[in-house]
Amino acid sequence: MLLPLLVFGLIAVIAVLIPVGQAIAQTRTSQLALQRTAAAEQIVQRARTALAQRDTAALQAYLERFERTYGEAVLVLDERGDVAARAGDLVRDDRVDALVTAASRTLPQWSLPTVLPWGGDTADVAVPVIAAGDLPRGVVVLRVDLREARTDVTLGWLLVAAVGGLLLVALMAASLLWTRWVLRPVKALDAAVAAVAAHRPLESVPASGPPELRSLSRAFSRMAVEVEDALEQQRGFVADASHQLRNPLAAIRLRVDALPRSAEDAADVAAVEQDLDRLEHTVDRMLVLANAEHRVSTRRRGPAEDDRGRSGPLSAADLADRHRDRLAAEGLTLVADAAPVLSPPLPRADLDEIVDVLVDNALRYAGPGAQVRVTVEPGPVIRVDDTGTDLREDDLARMGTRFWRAGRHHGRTGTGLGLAIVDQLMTASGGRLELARSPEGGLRASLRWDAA
Amino acid sequence: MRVLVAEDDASVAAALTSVLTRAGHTCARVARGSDLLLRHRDADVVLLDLGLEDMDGLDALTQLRAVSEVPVIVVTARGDERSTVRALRLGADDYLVKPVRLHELLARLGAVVRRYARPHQAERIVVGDLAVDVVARTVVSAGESVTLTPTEFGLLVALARRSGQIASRQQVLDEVWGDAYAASSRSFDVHLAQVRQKLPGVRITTVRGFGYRLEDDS
Repeated sequence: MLLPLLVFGLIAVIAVLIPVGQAIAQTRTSQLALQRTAAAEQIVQRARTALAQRDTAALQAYLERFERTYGEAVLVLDERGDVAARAGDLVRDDRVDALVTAASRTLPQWSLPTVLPWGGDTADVAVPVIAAGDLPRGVVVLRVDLREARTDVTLGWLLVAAVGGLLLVALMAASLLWTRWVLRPVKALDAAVAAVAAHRPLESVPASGPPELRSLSRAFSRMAVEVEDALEQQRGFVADASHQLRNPLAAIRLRVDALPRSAEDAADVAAVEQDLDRLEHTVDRMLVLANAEHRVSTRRRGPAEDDRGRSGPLSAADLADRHRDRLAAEGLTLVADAAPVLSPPLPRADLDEIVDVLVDNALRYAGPGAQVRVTVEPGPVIRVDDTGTDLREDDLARMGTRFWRAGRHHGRTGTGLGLAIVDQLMTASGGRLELARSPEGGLRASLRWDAA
Repeated sequence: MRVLVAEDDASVAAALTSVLTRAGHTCARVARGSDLLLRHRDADVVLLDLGLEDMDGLDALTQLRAVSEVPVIVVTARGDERSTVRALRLGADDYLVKPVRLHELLARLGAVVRRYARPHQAERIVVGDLAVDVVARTVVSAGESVTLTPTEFGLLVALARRSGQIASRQQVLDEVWGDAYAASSRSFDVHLAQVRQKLPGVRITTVRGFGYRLEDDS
């Protein structure tokens, strides 16, 4: 952003400076020309007298004085082109001759070049000596010393350049300040959007900068607060709802427990109890989920480090061995090695909850005869693979949606909350859950934390 | 067993009352913490919900524990560790999360009551040369019989049972007036002054900020 600004500033400043520089050089040149015209006029008058009287001694003396005073060489030629008088080292060469020829046609050769810092030290001018009747009597060639004028022009240009530089700096500073003022709310908005996307607490977006951005900032703040409120309400709703369900559930449970069991009612009561079990289980899982979500929002609000700490070093076998018998009872085999040993950044209780859910899912969906493999890798990454055979692509896409269960297993007792809980627990610990098709055929659930 | 159910949810209270009655217990139900503090003396065990109509169950528990050691089982929907620990620390004897299975509830009721030995209420208290017969309601101080009003008598018994120890104002109020947190403080002071006047041989020390102590000089 700075470079184009610099280029534009430079162009603007140069566009102003070049004419100024030119004007300085031209003014100085015409000033010099005016001075030298006066001096040349003096010489021309004396030359006219001298040439008329054919006595050049006085002229010669004047020229020498002139040369000593001004340091400028002078050459006076008579009408035949011979040297009548001279002072200084002005030699007749082609250039001088051309000037003389032009001047002898009674045209003064006042073509002083514009004085530039890199111009020459001298410039020759030729003035015709005109007697009565407009007849050229001779030519005065004056070698004008440009050095003083050149120094003046150089100094003038330096001054202008310095002023230009200052102008450029001022321009840059002003535009930087201005862009910063314009961009500050944009940056704040950018940070705020990132915060909202990550569900971090939102510092209020300062309403600064141009009016359009101010109103945008205000609108964004309102929207962010509303989004956060909506999320908070949604989280709170799960907790409140499951909490509220507990009282009626407790009442029903007590009354069902106390029901007299006659032989003909036994089946009905058992069915009610089974549904009650399921309801209780779902409410329990909803509370676990609400709790995990609460931890996620606490983590996002507070310091990144979950104060519940991390589990000690453990291997795949440590994690999964307690499920071995349960899996074996259903005809599944468990593969979990005792090495390597890693320490994932979440509490052991959460880790057990997660592995419970994943193993339960494998048990439920992979079916008898399948193999469940739990692996732990540095990263840390924990993987649970199964060799189930009927994992469909659309199942994979919808997995982890709350209350969703693979259609053909609705008869089973799952709540459809397991993977949602795993997902929230992982998020609460700064990790993530990834679901993919396992190279072994069934589901691969990967628990991944970025190395701290 | 007399069970006092402190529960704000009517259907849970009704279910608890119903099943406990069917299991052979006597049930009473209160929905407010203040009622719990008035009626706990009639109960062998209290089932306390943490959400009551007028106050938090944990506050009710704190106030109850200031005056009584009746067994309390917290039965609540709050299943988090923090509430459990706080309730147990504040003096709950057990903590059950709703929904509760009936047989577990009955078993826990039995266990809690079994552990709780109701303090033996002596029928005759002797402190130094003061002798109080609780059953006959007579007071003998330094060999002379003294006549006390029922309230004064109750106050003396409450202090004499804890002779040498501090009896808090709430404990005495609870035992004598049946309400530890009612505004009967002024009347308490009047009756205490009466007792002190009628029994000059008995030293009742006021321990500021804690309560009262009937000095045991023997």
